[in-house]
Amino acid sequence: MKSLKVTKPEVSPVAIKSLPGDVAVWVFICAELLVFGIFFISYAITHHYNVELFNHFQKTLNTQSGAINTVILIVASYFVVLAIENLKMAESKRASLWFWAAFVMGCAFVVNKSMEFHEHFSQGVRLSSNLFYMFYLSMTFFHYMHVILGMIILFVLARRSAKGEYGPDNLNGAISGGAYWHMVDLVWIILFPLIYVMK
Amino acid sequence: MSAKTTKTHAGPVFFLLLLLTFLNAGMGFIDYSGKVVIFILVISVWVKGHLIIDYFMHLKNAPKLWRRLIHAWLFVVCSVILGVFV
Repeated sequence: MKSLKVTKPEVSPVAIKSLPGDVAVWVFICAELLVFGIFFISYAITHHYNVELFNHFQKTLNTQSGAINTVILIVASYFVVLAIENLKMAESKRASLWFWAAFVMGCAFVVNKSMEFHEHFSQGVRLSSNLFYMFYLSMTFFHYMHVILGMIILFVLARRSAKGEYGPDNLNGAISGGAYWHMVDLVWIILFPLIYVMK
Repeated sequence: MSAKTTKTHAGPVFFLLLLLTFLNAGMGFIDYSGKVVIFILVISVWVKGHLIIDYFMHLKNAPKLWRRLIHAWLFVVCSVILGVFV
């Protein structure tokens, strides 16, 4: 009697392409990117028709502060990458420290940006001041709110990692939260040169 | 594989991102406007975005649809900015 030999299909893990994190988070990220994309394109087109106005008021912005915030967000993103790598190696305590480090960088961004907002508001700058400030304040404040939400996520990830709730077999939540933070970084790397630098 | 690959690339990607950021900021400080500057800025933004999407967001080995979707967003935004400013 012939015996049937059942063998598992040989599929290399490399060949399986899976979305890192939760699909719902990626749908949310895409929606957020769409909104920011509309903001960027609207800014660029409005700039095209108001070059002198935009270039004049762009000079009132603190480029140094914007550059520092870019570095802060990139460093924070790198810390998140390191946290995820530590979780993959079952080093959840160390991962928690990296999440906390990213959280601290987020705080630095918020403090720096708040000082910038304070400077503008104390000079009487408002949304209704002119087209440039309308775009500048709405885009940067919208992004600022996203940084705060990202910090809340980092706070939760740091605490849950410290409790050992994430590990090599349970990374979905951490990767999803990390992806959100990287989206915040991705948006800023376009926002900074577009508003602060391009003339 | 992906974990190991990401770990190997994360450091160099981070330093490249910092380098491009200093380039962007430097152009802001020299206060010079011109098509070449805009072109360099947009290309550097596109490269930075590409690095973040592939290596930080871990989409390099993700299903093509998702990876292409995010890259397409970056491409459209950068193209429109380049088209309008140059």
